[in-house]
Amino acid sequence: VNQPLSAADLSGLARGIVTPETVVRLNGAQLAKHQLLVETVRRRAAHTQPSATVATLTRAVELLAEIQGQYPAVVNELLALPQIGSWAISCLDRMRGGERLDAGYLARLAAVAAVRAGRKRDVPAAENGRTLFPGLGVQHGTRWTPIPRLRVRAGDLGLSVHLDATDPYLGMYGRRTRPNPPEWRDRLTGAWRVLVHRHRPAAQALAVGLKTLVPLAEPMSGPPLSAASGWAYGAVAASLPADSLILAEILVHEFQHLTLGAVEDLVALTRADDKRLWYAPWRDDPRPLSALLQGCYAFLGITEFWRAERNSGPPEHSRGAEAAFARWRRATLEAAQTLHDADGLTVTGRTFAAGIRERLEPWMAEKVSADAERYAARVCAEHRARWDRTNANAGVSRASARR
Amino acid sequence: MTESGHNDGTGLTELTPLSLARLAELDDTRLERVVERLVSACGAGDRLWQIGNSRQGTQG
Repeated sequence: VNQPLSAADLSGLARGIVTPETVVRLNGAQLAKHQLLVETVRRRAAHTQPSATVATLTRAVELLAEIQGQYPAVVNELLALPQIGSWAISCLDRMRGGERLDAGYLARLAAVAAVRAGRKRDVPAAENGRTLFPGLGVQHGTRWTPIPRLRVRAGDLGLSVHLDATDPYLGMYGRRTRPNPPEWRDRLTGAWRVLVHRHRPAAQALAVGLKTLVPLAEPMSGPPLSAASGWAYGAVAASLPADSLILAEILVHEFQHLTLGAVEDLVALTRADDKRLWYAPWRDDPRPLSALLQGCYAFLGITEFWRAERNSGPPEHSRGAEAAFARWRRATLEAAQTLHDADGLTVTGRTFAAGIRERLEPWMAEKVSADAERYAARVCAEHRARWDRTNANAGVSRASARR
Repeated sequence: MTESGHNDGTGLTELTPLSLARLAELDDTRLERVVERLVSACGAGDRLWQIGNSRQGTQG
């Protein structure tokens, strides 16, 4: 199952074409990354952590390895949980800072594996107080609270995700909120219908790659929040949007980030020593080249999303979608041009910058209304002017000043 | 894999087929080399992609 990414996969990915088969291979690479990070935590802990912590970690890794030998699907599913990556990165950070790491977390993951494999003798006795079992639920005395799972379906395609407001290693996105699962299920059902019927390739990729939604507290004002992390592949954090269409857009946007992040784990796309900052047409702050590439990839997906939305719904929906399409194709092409000119990408990174432009070019030639084009030009120009005023002295690279 | 021919590969591809048990047999140098590439290539602190206000105007 764990097959490496092929040249054909990478060629498609460079143009933003993500097939379910490619996602399966990225999933495999991310599982390998989590295993590698877990093993690294175990080895580094031996030199830096108290003996009890080392013993707990070693026992947990050995138990996981043993169960993986018999029931690989059980352990692979658990090790692939998004939070295992961020747990491991947190451990490495803590060890660098001379702090004690959270070995009990991996022990509880191994306990979940033991339960699933029917190995009761390896399940530790219940602890006092509140105990989280990753990806499963929380034990509080005799009370058990499972992590909610949302299952939605549209036509022949289903999506099944955790709704996890509990796991401490999914807390990096912002303030979380206790979710109302029926409300999330309702919104996700609507979003999934939009994706399956109007954005099928994105839906097919999400069906294979999205594992967890992290509910964020709603902002006081403005549009919903959303986030993804390169250390938690498969998880998307979002505040609950009022509109299913916006949840669909969020899922497309954030999954683009996760996809490119997974590619970056296999092949460097930008030079690590490049510290220059650039204008990004969707951000108020200057961004490093790697983040600009990430944004560009995400907005390639968003441009495609609104391009398809133009042809659906009532006229006011089509007009709004057309304006969004006009805006994001223009903004994304500008960023792709900056990437091309910046001379900070690796060979593969340049393939991606070229692939993004190649995908955008025919879309640039597509006719939109004069209103939509004027709107796009005005919004892009206003953003740039505001950004220039704010970042006049921010030491931004000169090449990024080009329009 | 596409990594060949360039030096862009992090080394993760070669480890993808390994189980946890096999990974435990890997020598420290090789393991650390891949981990360092993963962490430094991406920048541990800068892999959080967030949106607050950038979606404004998306719907025209």
